[in-house]
Amino acid sequence: MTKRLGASEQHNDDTGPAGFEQSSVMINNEQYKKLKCKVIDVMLKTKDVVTLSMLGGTNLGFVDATHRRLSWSLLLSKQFKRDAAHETIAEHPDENQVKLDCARSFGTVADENWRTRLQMFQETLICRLLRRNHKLRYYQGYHDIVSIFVNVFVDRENIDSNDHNTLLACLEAFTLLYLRDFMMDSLHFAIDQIRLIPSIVKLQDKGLVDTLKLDNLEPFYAISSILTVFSHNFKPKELDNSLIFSIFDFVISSQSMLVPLVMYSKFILKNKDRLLKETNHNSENFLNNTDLIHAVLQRCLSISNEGPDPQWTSILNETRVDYKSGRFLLPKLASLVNEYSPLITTASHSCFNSGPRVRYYTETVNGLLDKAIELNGVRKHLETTADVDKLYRQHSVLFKLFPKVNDMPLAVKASLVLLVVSLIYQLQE
Amino acid sequence: MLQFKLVLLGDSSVGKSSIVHRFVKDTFDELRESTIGAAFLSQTIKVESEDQQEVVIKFEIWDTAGQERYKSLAPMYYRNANAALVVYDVTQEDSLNKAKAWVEELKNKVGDEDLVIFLVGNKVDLCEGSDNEDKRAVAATLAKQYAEDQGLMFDEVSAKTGHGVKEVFQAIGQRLYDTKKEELATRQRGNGNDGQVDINVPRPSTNDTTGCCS
Repeated sequence: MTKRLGASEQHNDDTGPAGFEQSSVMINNEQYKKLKCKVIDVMLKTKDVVTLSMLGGTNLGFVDATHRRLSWSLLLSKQFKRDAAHETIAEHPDENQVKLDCARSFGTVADENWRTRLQMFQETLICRLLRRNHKLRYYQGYHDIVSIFVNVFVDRENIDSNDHNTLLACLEAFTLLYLRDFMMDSLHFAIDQIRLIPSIVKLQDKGLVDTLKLDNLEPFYAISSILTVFSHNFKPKELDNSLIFSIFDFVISSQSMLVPLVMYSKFILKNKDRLLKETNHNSENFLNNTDLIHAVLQRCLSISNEGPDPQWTSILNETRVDYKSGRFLLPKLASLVNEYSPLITTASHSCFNSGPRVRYYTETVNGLLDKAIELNGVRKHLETTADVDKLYRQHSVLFKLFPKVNDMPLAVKASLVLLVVSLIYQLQE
Repeated sequence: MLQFKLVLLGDSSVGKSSIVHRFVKDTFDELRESTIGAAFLSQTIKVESEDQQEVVIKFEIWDTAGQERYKSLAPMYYRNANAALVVYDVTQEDSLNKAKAWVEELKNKVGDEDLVIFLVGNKVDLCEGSDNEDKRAVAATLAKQYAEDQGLMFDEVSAKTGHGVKEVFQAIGQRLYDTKKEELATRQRGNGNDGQVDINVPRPSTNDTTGCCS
């Protein structure tokens, strides 16, 4: 099979890195991979992070495990710089849950001995990370994400090595910059994120949202996909070319946790006809609309033995194209997710040219984490979306006006709220 | 065909998904992955009416995640449920305490007095034979007594061998049919049908077993 350099199967991007996708030279798949690997090698050598991150968002991402681990390592080290690690031996409260989940992990690995070694490695790695970051709480599904990192960084030759510090550093950077919302002691921030999905769909097809009443039901159908960045849905079968690796290549290259949300929204839009047909066909089989939509979407998402439906390749490609050309259609996030969310701070890019990349340091990220934990303490007692909207708006205004607001005593905070409210009232008068 | 919603609840790793897959697909996988959020499956069974006619019952099954943090999603799945399978692991003492907490929550939060709650002790295969007796951490008599006190149905099963699994769903289906047939008959009489019972009236399934969500 021949193809244009860098062009995807479905789309001929014209915004590729350094003309990589603009060539009209026809080459076959193997030649394409070889050439791309050579270009990646050059970018790694010259530490050209900008071009490397563009390459991560093109067809086949970073191509193979060798290039993938080097690329992830360089990109994530440019996104996050950790102070000297504080290794502790104190057990993390979630270690038992980690053990239970890892014991059931790597189900697609046929060799039983190798599978057991991978499971033990994964458990040790997660526990080590949690002990270094005691404030993070483990959730079922995080182990699926870790299994992707283990697949990329660990092989039979290096598993017994004592030095897996690069893997740990990459996983730690990804966890702290991209997954903080999911690692609170409750699901609330995660639910806030998945509630963006119907809002994103609505911006493109209001009729579909209205017909399926997506606005009025909790989008719990997307939890496993979003919380695991699709790693629970798409288990890797072939080390180098599985779709899930390309998804992670793109998320890390774009430094954006908006990517999974946009992809899921595209999945709904792409399956519009099927969704309408099947919800109509099954409407009398379910007690409520939430159950019906969840069941139908689960069916559409189901993976055959041959792997994910080819539609996911085109969903990923379309998302890449939108990202490069700045066409992510998003609602205003400020009142929908918390002010410290990765979606607004550390993994927030909505297009390739959305400003310079910031390197985050431990102090900043820990500060965001502490504030998020504090806000989550308030958030989890709120029942309605209106209350949540109010909290986030109020918090957002206070935070912008008074960046040190969280360090203030409660009485001072209350006075500030009153001050802001009275100012708004007077302005309205 | 009658259709009922059934939800599985219980602590992490007690075997909820394995029980469902044994019932729906008659398979067992040692490496069944953790459930994230919830998963939907469905299966039909046949129960017998008073006049010994076969009645087809379809279960809409919601298999939930066991980790504590996913507990907040559970009301979405047990809301409107007709039956709940509350599962514990007979080799893990604490899992019965978690099961008891689920029973409490169901009793407090679900308004339906007809909600069928079935307490299921899974993994009995692990304590079969004289060599393995010490692996049992929850005595069957203890759990049974608790179930009786609370008015729950109860049995022990093994998703691995299949022992008792189908019987649990069969018993739930029969109980639901027996409970609902009177309710349906009453409703039919209210509709002026001269006491004729049309079992399909409240929520007949228009879908055959090859449909999307079967």
